[in-house]
Amino acid sequence: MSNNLRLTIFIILITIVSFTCRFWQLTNYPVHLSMDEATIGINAYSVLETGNDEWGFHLPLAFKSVGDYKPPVNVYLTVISIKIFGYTEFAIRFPSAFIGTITPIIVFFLLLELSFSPTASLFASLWLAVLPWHIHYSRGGYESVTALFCLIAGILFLIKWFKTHYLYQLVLTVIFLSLSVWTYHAERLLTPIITIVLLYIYRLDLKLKKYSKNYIIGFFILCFFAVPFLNQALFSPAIKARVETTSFLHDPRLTNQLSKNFISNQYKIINYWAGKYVDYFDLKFISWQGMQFTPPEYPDVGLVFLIDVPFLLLGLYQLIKSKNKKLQQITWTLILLGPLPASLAMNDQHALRALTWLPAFIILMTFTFEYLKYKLPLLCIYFFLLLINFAYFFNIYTIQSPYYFSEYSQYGFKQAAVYACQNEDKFKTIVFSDTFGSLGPLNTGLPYLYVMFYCQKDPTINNHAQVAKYEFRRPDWKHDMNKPNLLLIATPWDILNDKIPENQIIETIKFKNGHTAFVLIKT
Amino acid sequence: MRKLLFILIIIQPFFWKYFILNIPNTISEYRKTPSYISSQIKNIFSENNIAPLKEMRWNSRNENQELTGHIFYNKSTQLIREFTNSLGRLAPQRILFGDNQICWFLLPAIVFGFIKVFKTKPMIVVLFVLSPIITVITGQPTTLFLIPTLLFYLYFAAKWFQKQPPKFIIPYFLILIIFLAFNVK
Repeated sequence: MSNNLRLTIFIILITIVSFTCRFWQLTNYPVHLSMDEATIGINAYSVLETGNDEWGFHLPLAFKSVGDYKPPVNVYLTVISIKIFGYTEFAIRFPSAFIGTITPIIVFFLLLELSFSPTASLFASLWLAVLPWHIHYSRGGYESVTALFCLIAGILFLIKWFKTHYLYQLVLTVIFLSLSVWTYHAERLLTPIITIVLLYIYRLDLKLKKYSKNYIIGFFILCFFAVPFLNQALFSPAIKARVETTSFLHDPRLTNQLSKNFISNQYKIINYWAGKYVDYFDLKFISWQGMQFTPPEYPDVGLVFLIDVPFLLLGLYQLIKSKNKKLQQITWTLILLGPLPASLAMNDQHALRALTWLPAFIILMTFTFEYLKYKLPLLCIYFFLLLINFAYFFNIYTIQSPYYFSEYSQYGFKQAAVYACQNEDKFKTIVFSDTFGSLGPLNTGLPYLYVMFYCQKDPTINNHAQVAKYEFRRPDWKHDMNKPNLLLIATPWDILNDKIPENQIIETIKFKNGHTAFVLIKT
Repeated sequence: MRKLLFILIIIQPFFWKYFILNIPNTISEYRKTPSYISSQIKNIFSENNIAPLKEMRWNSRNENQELTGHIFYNKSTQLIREFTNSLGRLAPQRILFGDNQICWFLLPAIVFGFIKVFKTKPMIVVLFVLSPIITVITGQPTTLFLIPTLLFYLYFAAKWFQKQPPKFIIPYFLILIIFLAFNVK
């Protein structure tokens, strides 16, 4: 069997593994559509049917949505997906799951381009195919998976361009890197920096004079993507709003420390940010608790498998010993810059925002596989332990995480919304509580999103007209009980001190841990 | 190298806090080590620590995965948890920013020193990774029982400074002392 054929077979096998991990029961895990997924679906369906988003803006480049101005790429990908699969949960999750499935393949080609052997590159692709960090975000319809794919593809074609200088490589580089910027916020910072560093590392291969025509073409394509982006950054609230809501500079833990002394403030800001940045280099976060599938201090899953810790250290050792200077520079760049965007945001140790760090881990693991590829017993032991770790992740992901955190996936809204839609005609008004969750009465959800999605409301009709029958507010039993023909979708907080006659309770919707999510009451 | 390491140790906040200003407390804490170890041995599989595992095993059972529950949530899982806790205690955030045990201005020196040591003596890095094990054995995740880890951090920094010219080291140390003075609480 020729080497190429063998490689192709292995690539197909890895794709099957990757596909299975991402598409198996896609609509059941995560257990419920998140608010982001619902918004993406609603906007994509609206664009498909009317050409406008839910606010009536024609083909927008930032979706205002619930005020968070979503980047457009995933929404437009979902438009295609809805066109093919219909307006369903599967269609909303399909684009990320599909891109997540093919990411290990593009990673394989990148690793080859970085001078790793095909065997080590295949092992690394397989590792990525079964990695919980990537699987979870691929299944959950997250934009960061698409952005990561675009970033990796962009780097791949850029390195190819430096080696062979075909015009199509430069064109694809510019397209993919630009798309990554348009797909997720973290890449807006990371992609330009990584591109500049790569241009510096490969400065001798640029050959600006020889390929000046190609560079001019590349520049015009770049302008096509960059000009609207700059326009958005400077003249619309899209990026400004996002920065204001997520920047660490607005974190109360920092702002409470600041005084009127300018120098002292600068020191405190740098100190605070550096602490957040360094916080990502925590082995417990990386190997055991990063994904937060279970409550704190419960067994959990990290960004990588626990068994990977010694192998990552081995990879780091191999990196330090490596004589390939360019590869060393690229890897250090990815290691150091990976957590940078996440560290500038408000939350601590955020696995989703840190997804930009994943290429660094992939390369470190490839260094390990490069070293282990002829040490068959060690390799077998590693993959056996990996299998056990994967089985553990499977248990956590399919049993423990739904049990502990179903409410964080907005579990319950679907059942409530579906009941409301199916019985809309039976009630004069449907009052849907905007309080949500078991933590307290002040936590809120966005029930209208789920009503819009599960009731398959027609986007050509004005939003308000579609949900005219609904009131999104906390039910007040003492007041509402006197109104005839009402459906109250209440949380336990709304009826804490009220005694509801049992014959008026239609249904109780529970979270996966048995706590009550909603009580459906008729008057 | 030894002189550098010595200087680095004596200018750190943790050294002053535990070995100069509170030395009687430090000694009495260290004297309690045997009792800490015995209580940790009793506690490690205490009901409090095992309860989450039982709960997760129960969840698995409810979903007809009793066997997987038994395999993944048992006493060895508790030992793994303790081990990962010790990994968490290596975190530079905790050492350099948490309680200002070591001044964070040393971070670049520590990183470059770590790379240098890893290249030449990888076993030292393995020992470094295992250094917080004392906090696991005693069940005391306090600075006093993290001293070996702190010393490794300073060793890495000293290793890097060792190859730097004095005209670089002296200003670096001066700035470091200013940082330390600024950080004194």
